[in-house]
Formats: sequence, C-alpha cells, structure tokens
Amino acid sequence: MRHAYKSWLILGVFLLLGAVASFGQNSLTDNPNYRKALDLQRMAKQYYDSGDYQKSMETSQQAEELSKVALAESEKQRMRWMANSYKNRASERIAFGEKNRAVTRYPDVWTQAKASYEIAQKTFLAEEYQASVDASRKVMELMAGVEPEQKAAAAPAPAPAPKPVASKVLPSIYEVRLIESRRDCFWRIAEYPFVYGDPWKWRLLYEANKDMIPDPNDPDLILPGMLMKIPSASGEVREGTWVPVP
Amino acid sequence: MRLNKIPVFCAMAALLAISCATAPPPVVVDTAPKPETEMAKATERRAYVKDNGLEAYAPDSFKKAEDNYTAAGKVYGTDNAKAKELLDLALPLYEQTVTDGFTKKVAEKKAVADSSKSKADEQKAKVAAKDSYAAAEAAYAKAVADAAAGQYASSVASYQEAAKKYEEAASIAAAARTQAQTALDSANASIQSTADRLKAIDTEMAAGQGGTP
Repeated sequence: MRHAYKSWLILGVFLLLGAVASFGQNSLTDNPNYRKALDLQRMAKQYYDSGDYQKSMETSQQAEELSKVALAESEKQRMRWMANSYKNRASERIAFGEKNRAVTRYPDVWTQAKASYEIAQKTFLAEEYQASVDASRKVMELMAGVEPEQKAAAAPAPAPAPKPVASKVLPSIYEVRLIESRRDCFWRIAEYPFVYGDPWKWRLLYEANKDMIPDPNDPDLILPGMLMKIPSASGEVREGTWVPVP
Repeated sequence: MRLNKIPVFCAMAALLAISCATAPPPVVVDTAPKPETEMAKATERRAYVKDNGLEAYAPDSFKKAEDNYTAAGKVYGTDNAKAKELLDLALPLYEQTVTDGFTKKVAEKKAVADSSKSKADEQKAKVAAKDSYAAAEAAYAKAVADAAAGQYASSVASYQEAAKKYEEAASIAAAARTQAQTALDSANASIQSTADRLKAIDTEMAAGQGGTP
C-alpha cells in the first residue's frame, strides 16, 4: 500500500515536470536555433578569452546567422498565428452566415465571402500568411453587414439587401456580457461587426474606457455589466446601447 | 773712438771660439723591440668593442683604454718600452669594456625582448599567432643559453630576434583580436535584437490567446 502511494507520488511529480517543460516550450525563446545561437555565443566568448580569435570569429558569425534564422522562423510563426486567428474568425462569420441563411438573404455578399474564405484557407496551407490574413479580413468586412435572421425579421422595415456599415447607425454603448464559451474582452468586443468588425482596433475601446476598468494598466480585466463606450473609429455615427438579440 | 770698439770685438770673438768648440748632442737609439703582439691584440680587441657597439655601455673603461692606446701609438717605434707599458694597460681595459659592455647590452636586449613578450602575452599571441610566437620562444631560449655559455654577441642577436618575433606575434594577435571583437559585438547585438523581438512576439501571442493582443 505504502509502495503504491510512493509510485503515484513519483508519477505525479513526473507529470508535473512534464507539464512545466511542455509549457516552457511554448515560448519562442525555446526556438532550437535561438538556443543554439546562445550556445555559440558563449563558445565564441570562451574562444575569445583563450586567445583563439579565429575560432571566436567563426563561432560568432555562426551565432549571428542562427539568431537571424531564429528570428525569421519566429516572424513566420507569428504570421501563421495571426493568419490562423483571422481565419478562425472568418470561419466563425461563415458559420454565422450559414446559420442565418446568408446564401438566400445576401447572395452576392455570401458568394464573395465564401470565395474569400476559400482563398484564406488555400493561402494559409500554402504558407502565404499575409495573403491569408487579407482574405480573412475581406470575409469579415463582407460579412459585417449580415445581420441575424431573427433580428432582420423583427425589424420594422424590411431589409432584403444589406446596407453598408457606414450608412447604419451603430451603437455607442456596449454592455459587457458574461459568455462562458467566448468571454468578452477588448479584442473580441472590437471584433463584433456592430463595434468595429476588426479586433485589431481594440485599443480604441481600451483608451476610451480605461478609466472605468479595475486596473487602467491591465486591459485584460474587464467586468460583466460594464457599459463600454464605443468611440467612432472613422467618422461613423453612433448612438444608443447595443441590445443583444435574444 | 777706435779704442772703445776693441773690447766688443774681443767678446764676440771669444763667444765664437767657444761655440765652435762645443760637441753635437748624442742621438738616442731605442734598443727595445716594438711591442707588435701587444699592439695587434689591443687593436683587435678595440675593433671588437667597436664592432659590437660596446663603447657606449662601458664608457669609463673604454675611455681609459683609448687614452692608453693612443699614447702608445705616439711612442710606438720610438719608445717601445713605454709603448708596451701603455698597451699592457690598454688591453685589460678593452677586455673590461667587452665584459661590462656585453653584460649591460645583453641585459638591455633581454629587457626589450621581455617587454615584447609581455605585449604578445597580453594579446594571447601564444594561441592567436602560434608560429611567430613559437619562433620568438625558440630565439629567446637560444639567447638565454648563449648568455650562459658566454657567447654574448650571439645572445644579443638572439634576444633581438626574439623581440622582433614577439612584436610580430603581438601585431598578428592584435589584428585577429580586433576582428574577433567586432564579430562578437555584432553577434551579441543580433542575438539581443532577436531576443527582444521573440519576447515581444511571445507577449503578443500570449495576450492574443487569452485576451487582448
């Protein structure tokens, strides 16, 4: 019994160490070429101190080359991450469109959005990440005017064709919600089509509301129920509080 | 008037008679042989001192030797005994000049070589300029051995060669060191720049995953 307890304890320690190690590997500074560059940098210094200047110079040059390779790899990884993030959001918008029958309600927009989404996917697989980001952004721009079917049905005036975002009156206040599956944050709020449709504009929201969040220096912490001001990003008219569709 | 001149003529005649009766002085003939061996040896040692530039290192003994040697030359062939006596004084003074001069000159050249060696060591030339440094070490070892064996002229030459090679090694090492330092600085800057950027991307991605990018 006691032996089994020890075994479980040892296994637990190993699992914990494994988890810590795998967590640590998520950092870009664990890039193998960057690590190798650091090793070579140390070796170059040792060669230098010993007077082997020729080897020191060669090793320094190798270290520098590897650090540049590591940088290029990380920049590519960042672009991949960004393209994937955009692609996921484009995918969400496409799913939203499918759910709300955009194909019949907004046929032209839907055709263009689907085509752009296909480009986003293909270019992503081809590792052309900037092109993928551009295509995903186009999907989001196109889909920004697609409204939920129920809301459109409840609207007093029929709206068969989507109006451009700029021509609509957009809300100037947003109430932070507690959504367990997709919690609200500046990034996601900025991404809502009725806000900016672009998560990268989160700073506009943050700057306009930093005085009301618990820690003005920590944009990660916002609280449900907060009434967030939505400043105009490009001269669009905004008024009223956004009401979620039930 | 005539009577007054008579005594004057008498006196002149007497003086003339006396002068004609005096015998010529005797000619002195040196019977001692010329000190040819002493002269040859002193001349050879004198040339040796000058060829090796030792007169500047032992100026007192050299001046005394030169004074005796010059004086001997003046009486050589006329007063050979005196010339020999003077050359016998000059020769050990030349030897003293050689001994003292070489002692000081070897010490001086060794000090120069030691200084050059320090410079080379400072640049870690033993590793950075192996060939030149090894040649310098060999010349230095030979200089030490020659000095111990009393071969001072050779020792001086070897110390000079050692100093030259140490300087050469120091120069090669210094140039290599500068290049290595430049490469090291460049690598450090590149790695620092990469590290900063990686951390920035890390932060951006971490924020993007959990909340705000």
